[in-house]
Amino acid sequence: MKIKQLSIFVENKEGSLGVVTDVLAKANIDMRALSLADTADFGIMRVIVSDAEKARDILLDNHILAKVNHVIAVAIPDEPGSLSKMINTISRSGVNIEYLYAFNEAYENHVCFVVRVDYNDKACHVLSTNGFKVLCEEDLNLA
Amino acid sequence: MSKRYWNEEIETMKYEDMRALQSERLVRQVKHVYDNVPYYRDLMDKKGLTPDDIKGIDDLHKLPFLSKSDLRDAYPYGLLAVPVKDCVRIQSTSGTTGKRVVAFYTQHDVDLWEDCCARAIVAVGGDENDVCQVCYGYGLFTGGPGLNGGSHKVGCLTLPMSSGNTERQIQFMMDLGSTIICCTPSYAAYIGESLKEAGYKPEDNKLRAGIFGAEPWTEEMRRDIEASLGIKAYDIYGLTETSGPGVAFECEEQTGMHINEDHFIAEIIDPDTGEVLPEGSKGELVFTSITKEAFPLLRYRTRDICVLTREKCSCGRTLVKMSKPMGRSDDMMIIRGVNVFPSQIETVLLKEGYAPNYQIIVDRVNNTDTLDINVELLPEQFSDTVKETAAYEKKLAESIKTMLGINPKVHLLAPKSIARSEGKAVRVIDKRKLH
Repeated sequence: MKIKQLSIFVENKEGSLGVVTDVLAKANIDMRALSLADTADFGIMRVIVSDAEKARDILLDNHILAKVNHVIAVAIPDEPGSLSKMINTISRSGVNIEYLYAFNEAYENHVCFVVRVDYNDKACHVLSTNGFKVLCEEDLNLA
Repeated sequence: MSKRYWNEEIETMKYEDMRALQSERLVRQVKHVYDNVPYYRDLMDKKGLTPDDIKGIDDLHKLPFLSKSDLRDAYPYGLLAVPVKDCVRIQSTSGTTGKRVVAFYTQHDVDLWEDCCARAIVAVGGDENDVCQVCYGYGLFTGGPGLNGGSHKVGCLTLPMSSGNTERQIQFMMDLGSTIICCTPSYAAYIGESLKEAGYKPEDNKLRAGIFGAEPWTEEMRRDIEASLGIKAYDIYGLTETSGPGVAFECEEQTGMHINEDHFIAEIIDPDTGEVLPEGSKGELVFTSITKEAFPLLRYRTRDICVLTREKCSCGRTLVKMSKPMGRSDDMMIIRGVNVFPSQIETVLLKEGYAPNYQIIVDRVNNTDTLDINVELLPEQFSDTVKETAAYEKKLAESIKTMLGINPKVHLLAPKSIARSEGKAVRVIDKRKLH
């Protein structure tokens, strides 16, 4: 029930984000979801793409540090209060959320979130048993 | 009326008389070292020298040099010239075990060192009416103990503050009416700023003079400190190897530091050939201790580049004057008063598994030294979460702090992003323009 996320190290200097997006553009990679974290010294760009490993290898070939890891994707109703319900369901189970961000498009009239937690399997189980739709790569046409 | 000199006879001695005194003391010292320090005796033997070959100061150039590497090789007791039972103190430099200098003192050595510091205090107009606030570090560092002892000898009310705790420094300075302050120039500048932030004007304090040393500083910084504290700022020079601060000190003229020649013979050499250069030449400063008992280094290469002059000084002192150090003949930097070699930082980086490709950037912001280290992130350290990646920065900064004693700012850069240079890499960028 997990999906692959591509994380990219972005140096804190002029133009470095543009270099990353250029490489992805030239490789014709479609980004379905994106989030950017920044510190004083560096940034981390996280994206959901259709072939994460291939995109990672292309980046590495271009001397850009990238890594693939697993996150979960959850679809929630597009209405006030549903995000809060989802987050509280996870945290009440003792699972910690590191970060989350939204997909660019809706899934069957639902809003789709990427959630990074410390225990993926437990989070998937808790969400499913509480009526949330946990998406797999097939659901999102990523595979 | 305060004394003009702490030791008028010595400080205003005629050149010929000083040479005669130095010659006599040198001859005795060479014999003392030859008899008691096998390490130096070997060096002399290799050159085919015996104490009989040194008949006076004109023979000084024949003696072999000592450098920091000799101190490392002979660590800890190899250069000690008296039995441990006769020693009463050590002082030491900051730095790694490998580069650490441990200097020994008999009571006589402590006395002569404090005497040198007393001369420095009197030269800035100090006497028994003064309140002397010593905010150099105490402990192994020579700054605090040296000026503390000098201040006692002069009879000042001594405030043994040590460094740090600026709020308390200011409180004591204002409440007790300190008139002389001794610390590193960067700390003096920091105290000046803190006074301003606390709402004090330069005329609100009673300070008249400051004795600042242990790190390089510029004339511009001198003017800043003088304005912010409302004082005259004086330079003082010394190194642990020769005793500590007070080897040379500035007088009211503020045009260089008088060397205490009755204790230390100064030479200027070409750092490449070791050849002694004529007076007025720019070169590496070399000191020979002619009165110390426990740790009498002969022809010790300081690596500081400067100029000596015997031009007549308006203060009346005849002691030779050295310019502010204009640079180094090795790659040592002094950052916030701490001696730092780039190799120490490299050692930590390699130990933590980083590539030997890095940049050390030293700057001075608001009169405080900054140390930034750029290092390439290892691919396996990279994680999708900020906290995991940032934890590596923190860990490396802590390891470097443990090694150097000062806090660096570590910046992780992308792998292979630091330019590989062909030939000698530029690893250190010192933006301070100190010389």
